[in-house]
Amino acid sequence: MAKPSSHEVTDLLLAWRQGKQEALDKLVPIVYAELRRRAHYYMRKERKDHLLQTSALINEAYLRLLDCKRVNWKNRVHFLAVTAQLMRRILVDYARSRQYQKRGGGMGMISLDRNQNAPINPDPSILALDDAMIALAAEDERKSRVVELRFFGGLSVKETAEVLGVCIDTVMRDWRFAKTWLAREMNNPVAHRP
Amino acid sequence: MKKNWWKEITELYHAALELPENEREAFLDACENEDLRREVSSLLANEGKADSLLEASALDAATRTEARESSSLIGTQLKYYQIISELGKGGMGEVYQAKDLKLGRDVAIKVLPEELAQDSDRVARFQREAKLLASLNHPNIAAIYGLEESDDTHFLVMELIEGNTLAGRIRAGPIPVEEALKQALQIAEALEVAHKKGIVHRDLKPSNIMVSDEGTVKLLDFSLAKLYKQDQPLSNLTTEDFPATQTGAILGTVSYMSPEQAQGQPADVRSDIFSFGLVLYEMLSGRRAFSRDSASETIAALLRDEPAPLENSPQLENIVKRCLEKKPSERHQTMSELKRALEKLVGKKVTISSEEPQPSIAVLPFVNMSGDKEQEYFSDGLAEEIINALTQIPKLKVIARTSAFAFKGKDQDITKIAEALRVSNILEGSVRKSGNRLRVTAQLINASDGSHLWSERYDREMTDVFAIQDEISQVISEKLRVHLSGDRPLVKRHTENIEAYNLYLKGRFNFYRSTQEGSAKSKEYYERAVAMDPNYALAWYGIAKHYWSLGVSGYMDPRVANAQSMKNVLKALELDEMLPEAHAMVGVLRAMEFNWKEAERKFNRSLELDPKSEEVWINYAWSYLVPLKRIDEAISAWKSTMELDPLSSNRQYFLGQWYYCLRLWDLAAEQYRYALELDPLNGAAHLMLGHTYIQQGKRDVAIQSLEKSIQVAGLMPLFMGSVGMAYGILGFKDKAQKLLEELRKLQKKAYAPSYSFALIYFGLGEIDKAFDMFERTADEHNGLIFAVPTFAYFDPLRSHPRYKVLLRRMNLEA
Repeated sequence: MAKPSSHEVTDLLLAWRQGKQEALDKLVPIVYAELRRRAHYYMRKERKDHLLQTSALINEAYLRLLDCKRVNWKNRVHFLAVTAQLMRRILVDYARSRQYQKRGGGMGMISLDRNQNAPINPDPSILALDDAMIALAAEDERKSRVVELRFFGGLSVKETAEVLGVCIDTVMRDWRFAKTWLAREMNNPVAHRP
Repeated sequence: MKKNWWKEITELYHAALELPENEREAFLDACENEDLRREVSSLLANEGKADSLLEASALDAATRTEARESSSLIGTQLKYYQIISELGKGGMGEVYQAKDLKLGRDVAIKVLPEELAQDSDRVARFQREAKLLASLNHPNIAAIYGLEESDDTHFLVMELIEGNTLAGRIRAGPIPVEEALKQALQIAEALEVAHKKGIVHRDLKPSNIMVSDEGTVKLLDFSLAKLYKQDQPLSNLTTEDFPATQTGAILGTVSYMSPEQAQGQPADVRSDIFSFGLVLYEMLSGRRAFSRDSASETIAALLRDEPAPLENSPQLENIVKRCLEKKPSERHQTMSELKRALEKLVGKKVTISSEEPQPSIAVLPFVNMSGDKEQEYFSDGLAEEIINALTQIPKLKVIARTSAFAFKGKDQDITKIAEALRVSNILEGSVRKSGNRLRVTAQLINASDGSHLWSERYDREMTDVFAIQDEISQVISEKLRVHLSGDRPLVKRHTENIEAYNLYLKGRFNFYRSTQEGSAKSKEYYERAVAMDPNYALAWYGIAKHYWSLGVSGYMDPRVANAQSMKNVLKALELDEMLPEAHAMVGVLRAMEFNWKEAERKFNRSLELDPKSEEVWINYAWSYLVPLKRIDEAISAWKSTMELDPLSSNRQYFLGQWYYCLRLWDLAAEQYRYALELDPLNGAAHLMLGHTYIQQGKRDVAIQSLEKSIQVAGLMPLFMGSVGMAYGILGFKDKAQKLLEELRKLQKKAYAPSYSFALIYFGLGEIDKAFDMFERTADEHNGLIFAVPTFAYFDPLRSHPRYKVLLRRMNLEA
């Protein structure tokens, strides 16, 4: 399969948005391939964790996949919002299929350390996060959306505010609270509600 | 209700966040709803962790997970090893259980991390190391079967050990004293064997020690740690230097380091002894001796604190305490010593041969009874011949000439001498030579009680001199029970001509004076010796050495000196291929031609013939290992032979040189000072001490040392250059200029080394002129150029475009 061009991906996303389910079937292998390419590149060149952690790079992945010029600017943010949802679905499915492949599972989650002093794994399992996000959505739908948009969609605070139709401060507060809540949930998923 | 609950949580949470951290708890206490307070408080407790969560994008997180997952080798085949399961993961790579499909046995496979495998230098070092480790054949050491490569993946194939790690065993609680002692002895035995081969473990810790179900201990990961060496001393690092995910691993490693390792200094056997102490401490107490919350605090503790006392046994506590001394010199000095101390506790008798102390002897210079001081060359020479003969006995530790002769003319008590040289036996004797008659007395003394093991008087003809030497050597080997089987004489006769032999001894005696005049005289005597016996290989070699020394010390154009040296040494080898020093000399000469391959071949041959010779090692290290930057090999060689020559100022000085090359200023300075303690007239040691002080920023003492070097060595052209450079660097341009003038004056009369000019120009900042002169030094094939690739004072040159050109002239890569 020839390497998909970024406008091809964009077209597929647009098509999917218009309700064409088969577009997704074509999109999934492209994202998987990109994931593997990046993983390979990462292993070769970027062993050092911090290289991928700078926020400047957050959007890099999507820019590679998408040709935003093909979407009119006004729609761009909403388009990214859709992408975020889709990306979450694809990555969670991928993680699940990976887990089935491996005996014993564990999905690289390198067992979240229960030790209070241990810093949290900056590289959380997508599956555990997805579970925690579902739990968060049950309490507060919007906060879960903020995480989806920012983490899975790579949207900025401002873009997130635009998608959700709230002010920037709200997004920042939601983001902060959600991160803490998710961290606790993933660290210690015991009942803490009355 | 639920909606409100959530709203209250978020509001209280954000309100608390507005406050400084230390006021939050009090603020929450004001909250009446206990559930709410607890909920928000638990959220705030996770606040710090939240920052790192979701920092990267989902795709990045997935990428990393994918990277980790897909690098697993389980189910794949490397060469003919089928990878079955993962045994563990560590800083040193992943370890798998595998099936050797050829031999049908189960093995453990350790895959080298990619960043290591991509560095061909490190792979080469790893291969050398693996070879050495493979030679460690001991029931308490995990055997290495091989080092393999498959599609860029390098892996070690090792013995698979069933059982638990000692770390796992300790987790279950302290180990009872008796059991702990049994295991500790096995560890000590394994380390003892390794140390005797010059291998230091460097990373001894409970997780590197396996205990089988039957209680057999096996050590893993020998000596591999240094391949992952940090570039900077760990004590300079803080926890922030370690990525969060690695903190645990780093903490695990620093907890078992010796203070010298933590400070980035080289680790010798005594560093293993420290780590052994830590392991023993943990076995007995169930806790780490120095363990704090962070790596930096742990390091601080191990550099500073005393561990909490052990309660088990006062004697054991003493042993552990001694192992854990901060200063290496205050610990047990060898594993054998430590092992014996442990054995006493079990009441186990010292058994089998390897546990007996190695027989050792120092041969003191024979006393010249001839009443003619001129005959001293003969009495010295006789003792040296016996040293050379005894050195051929592998099981016997024989103190080298320099140290054995250190007490010459000093009326020292035999037991004191034995103590200083760490030997159990001393041979002393006397010689009276008159005309053709020879009277030699010799006595072998047990140093521990002063008793005579043997003594003899020989009244013979001069022609019997070799027979006497051989008889004495044979008797010693019998008395010390290290007799070699077979009738081969220990003393080799290099000539049958007694007159030539006499001349040779005179030549050698003069060369040892290490003055220009002495060297010139030695050449005269050697030439007369070969005139008497043209087949006298050693004398030809002596001539070669004289010329070589003229070249390196700057008294003769090295091109002329090297040619003369080569001619004579080849003659020597043609007559006797078995002269190790002669092969090493050819090695040096080839290195000065920058023919590294051929040089290595010759050095290998010389080391094959005599792996202990000081002369061979100095030449090999200086002319080969240093320019090729393989300094740590020089260091380990030094350490393994130093005990044979503990009082040689030169040996100490050279160890300082290797430390200097590694930029370990404190250690280097210590060695130079020690060399000066042994010989205050060692000009080179003064000189290098001065250069080390410059690196340490101690200007005043630096100048003192540099000037002292000229005082004791005189205005040698070599020292003029080096001191002139230092003057320039320190800003005394006029003094540097003055030395430059002196050199120019000298040049009108005789050869003045281009290297000295290069140094002064460099010190004065005239870099182009300096490079001109360095290039000329290379073209003249002066061995001093070997310092350029490694010596710290040349660091400012390394980024200059001409530096690469210069190295290329030397057939070296920048």
